[in-house]
This record gives sequence, C-alpha cells and structure tokens, in this order.
Amino acid sequence: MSKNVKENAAVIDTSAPKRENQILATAKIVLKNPGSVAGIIMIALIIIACVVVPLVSPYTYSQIDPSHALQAPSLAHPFGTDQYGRDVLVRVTYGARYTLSIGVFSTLISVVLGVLVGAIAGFFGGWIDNLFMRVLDVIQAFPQLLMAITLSAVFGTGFDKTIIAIGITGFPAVARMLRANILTVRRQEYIEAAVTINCNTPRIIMQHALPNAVSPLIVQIAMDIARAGMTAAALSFIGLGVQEPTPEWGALLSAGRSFIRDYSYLCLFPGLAIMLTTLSFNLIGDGLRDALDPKLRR
Amino acid sequence: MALVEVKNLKKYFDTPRGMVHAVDDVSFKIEAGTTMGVVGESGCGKSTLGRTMIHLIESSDGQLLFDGKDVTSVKGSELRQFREQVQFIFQDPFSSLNPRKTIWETVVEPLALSGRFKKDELEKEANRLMDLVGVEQRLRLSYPHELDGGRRQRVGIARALALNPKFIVCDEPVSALDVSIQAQVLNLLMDLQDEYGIAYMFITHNLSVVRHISDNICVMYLGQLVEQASVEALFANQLHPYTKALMSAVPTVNIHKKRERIVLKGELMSPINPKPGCRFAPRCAYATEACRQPQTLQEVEPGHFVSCCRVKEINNLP
Repeated sequence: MSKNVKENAAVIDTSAPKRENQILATAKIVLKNPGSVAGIIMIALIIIACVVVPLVSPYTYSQIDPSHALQAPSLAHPFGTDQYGRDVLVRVTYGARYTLSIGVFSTLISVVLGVLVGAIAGFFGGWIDNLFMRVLDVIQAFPQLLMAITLSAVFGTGFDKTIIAIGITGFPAVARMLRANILTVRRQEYIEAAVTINCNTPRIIMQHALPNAVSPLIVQIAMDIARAGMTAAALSFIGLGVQEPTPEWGALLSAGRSFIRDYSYLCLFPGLAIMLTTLSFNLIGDGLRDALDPKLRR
Repeated sequence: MALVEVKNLKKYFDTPRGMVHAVDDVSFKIEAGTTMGVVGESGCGKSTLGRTMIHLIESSDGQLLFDGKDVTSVKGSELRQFREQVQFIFQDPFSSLNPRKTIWETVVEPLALSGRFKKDELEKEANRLMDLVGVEQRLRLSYPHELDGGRRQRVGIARALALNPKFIVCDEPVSALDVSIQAQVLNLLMDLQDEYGIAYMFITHNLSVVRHISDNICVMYLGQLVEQASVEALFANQLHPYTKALMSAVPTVNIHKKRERIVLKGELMSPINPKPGCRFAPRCAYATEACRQPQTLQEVEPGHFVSCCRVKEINNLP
C-alpha cells in the first residue's frame, strides 16, 4: 500500500460511472402521470407566452393610451385594456416574469435556509435542536401572510425585498419537515457505519443523511413555488410587494378590483393566470410525490 | 499481550426513570487472531458493549486497551487512527448500507477517506475487496435494495475490511439472514480471519453459531459478565446457573439423549438502578442470602471464570 497520504484531501471522489440516472428514472414516471404532464405543459406555455407576447405585441406594458381605455377584449386587445388604455394581455404576460421569479427565488431562499437549519437541528439534536425549533415556533406563531406583510413593511416594497420577505416566511415549514426526516435517518445503521469509516460530520450530513431525507422536500418545493407566487400576489394586492406600474399579477387584480362590475375581464385574466400557475405547480408536485415514493410506484 | 483488553467497562444511560446499567463492570481480553463470542438474551447489553468498544458510543467508566495502548478517551487524529484499526459489522444488512449509494460507492468510501490510495489504486483495491468477499463485479453499480441479504452483508463486510482492521466487532451479523446464507457468511468471516489474523468479537444469541466460530465465550446477563471460558470448556461444563439454563435451550440432533430443559421462572429484572448483588438471583433456583452481596468474577478452573458465590457448592467442586 503506497503512503500517498494527503491530509484532508479536499475533494474525495467516490463516484463511479452511473448506470441509469435516478433523476431520469424519476422524470420518466412523472411523465406517465397525466396531471403532471398537463401542469408541465401549462407552465411551459405560460413561460413561452411571457417571453414571446411582450416581444411581438405592438404595445408595451406601461404604454398609456387614454383614447382606448377600458375596452372589452377584441382582436386588437385580446384581453382588453385597463383604465389607462394599457393592453391587459401584455401586462399579464409581462407580469408572469415577476410572479414566477418571486415564486422561484423566494422558494430558493426558503429551501437553502430550511435545509441548513433543519439538517443541523435534526442531526445534532439536544439543545441545538431545541434552540432552533423554539425560534421557528416564534416565527410560525404568526400566520404566514401576516408575517409576510410584517416583513414587507420592515424591509420596504419592491421586487427583491418581496422575495426576501416571502423566503423568510416559508423557511420554517421546510426546516421542520427536513428535521423530522433527518431525525429518522440519523438512527439508521448506515450513519453509524459512516462514523466507523472516519467520515467527518459535514460529510455524513451531506453524503449520508441529506440524500435520504430530501425526497419529500422535492414535492414540497414544487408546491412552495405556487404558494410563494400566491403570497406575492396577495402582498401586491394589498399594496405591499411589487409596485405600480410593474404588472405583477396580484397588483393587476388589485387594480382591476375597482372596475369589477362593469369590466370584469380586468380581474378575470390575471386571476386565471394565478389559478392556472398554482394548479400546474400543484399537479407537478403531486406527480413528483408519486414518482419519488416507492410505495406509490406501480 | 492481548490485542484488546477491557477493564471494568461501564456504560450507563441516563433516562428519566433512572440510570440504565447497560454494561456494568465488564472485563475481558481478546487475543489477536481469535474470536470472542458474546452471548446473552435480548437487552443484556451485548450490542452496547460492542459499540462502546469501538467508540461508537463513549463508555461511562472503565478502561479500554488496544494493542497495549490506552484508547479509553482518544480524540481527534488518535481516534481516527484507532478507527482505521477497528471495525463494525452490523446486524441488519438492510439498514447498514446507504440506500442512495451504489455498492461501488459504499466499498470505495473508506478507501478514499483514508487518503492512502491514488485514484487508480483505489479502483484496484475496491475490486480486490469485492472479489475477496465474493460480490460479483457486475453488481458494482447496483443499489443495496437490488441485492439479497447475504450479498448485502458481504458488502458490509467488504466495507469493514477496507482498511485492514485488526479487530472487528460483529453484531449478530448473520441473525437477519437465511440459514443457508448464514453458513456462507460465517465461513467467509472465518476464512478472512485465517488469512489476515483479524480478531473478532462476535455478538450473538445463537449458541450454535457461537460454538462454530468462537475460541472463547463470554456469557452476559443484564449488563454483567456471568461466565467466561473457552468454547470447549463452556460447552462441556457450564458452571453458572444462568449458563446452564441457556445451554439447556440448545436443540440437539440426538433424539435418544434425554436432556433436562431448565425453564427459568420470573422476569428479567429492570436494568434501571439495579440493586447490588447477583442480578440473576431472582430467577435462580440456587439463590440464597449470600447472593445479595456484590459478586466478583473468580477463576474456578484455569481460564474458566464464573461470577457466582455458590459456584463450588452447585457444581460439587473442591
């Protein structure tokens, strides 16, 4: 045996050529679920629309045209125009990039924070666990929307601040879920086995504990994106969050509310957009859950 | 000099209902290249003893010597060094392998972590290990759930062997396997011992298995050692009343030989804050007042230790 000992070799590569990729295998099962396929298609359509429509449309989202205010849907304005004569189709499709990216990025914040806190609390247990969980209790004692409102009031309004506010309100749920999973995984003998072969603690958590604890989380992430998008819409609906003239969906709903009796399409289209997006992510989440749970696999 | 020596080892667990005396004042030695069988019923502290001996859990009191060195409270790099020389084979091959890692990744991991090998040597060494324990190369990219119990246990053994340990604690390594597979795995373990001179501590409740593989045997009852002897001596002549009862439960193939089955009465006493004195006394047919005094392990015959104050009267010894 050669003694090429490199103390603390930074990168330890134990990977071997993979055979069937697990991600691919999961994707195949997801694609067999008609609900998920519908969800994926809808999300794809929304994303395509949000890129293409503002490019090809003769109008921009903030172009005011008082002479064409409050027009019903027509060929020139498929979703009609609002009280300033702005094209609602362009505004809804342009708004998708805000609502969707708030959903994705704030979920990203939730997941990073939640995994960090949940993994540490679950793995180490004891007073660390107690401390973290009590802090989460405090955060979760507030209703989620109220928490988001409070945080937006503290941080201020705007795209980036909304993302942070929603990210923080979402992370305790992720942390709790992961902690519970880590708690059960930690008792498994392969964790002990990792200790006996001199795995250090960060490696045990990253390589042995986390991979066996995250699959329920992946489902949660899909649902969380929808939830975060909804919260973003709710925040701008009440005037916090993203501000005019940015056409965030909640803001569009809020603005259309004053005209809902006579010009209901002002609310209808952003409302439909919110509903379809949420539905799609939930459908994808359902499909993922079935694909990742071996007991539900057929 | 013994490879492993345990002196007055204790492991107490602090629970809301009191101190659980899982391992209480256990002392023995294991010579290099030999097998020490540890038998006892469920919950008598066998596994705790095994885990304590390789620092998977820390002992409460007592001393642990390895290769003449005191390793009772090693830390840091010393602990890492110690762990490269001792290993553990787990009872349940279904939960001792990480379900998200391929067989190859599991076998290679200890090699890679040791930093002893270059990348190309790593590959060769892992292949050698898999051949050694008889896991086919075609399975290297399989996941544990695709293998049967015997093969999984072989993978566990390969992982334990990776760094050429001198001492392996086997915690009921065959109890979760089919009988036909049990023999294969036991023979593999014995072959490896012949080849590499590994010392085993073999924890089991299966007396036929322990007879097959061990050189010496410890009998445990409620965290304490009650009898210790060589395999031949113990199976020929049990001196402690508990060991007698235990051995009488071994089925025999000789249908003509009438054997007296000793059926124990009463329940196992609680290991929480036990009273001093013999822990077996409440179920023992020979118990007297003297049994309430703390017992010590005494050498009754050369190499045959018994912890019973009435051992001579019971067995009509001089």
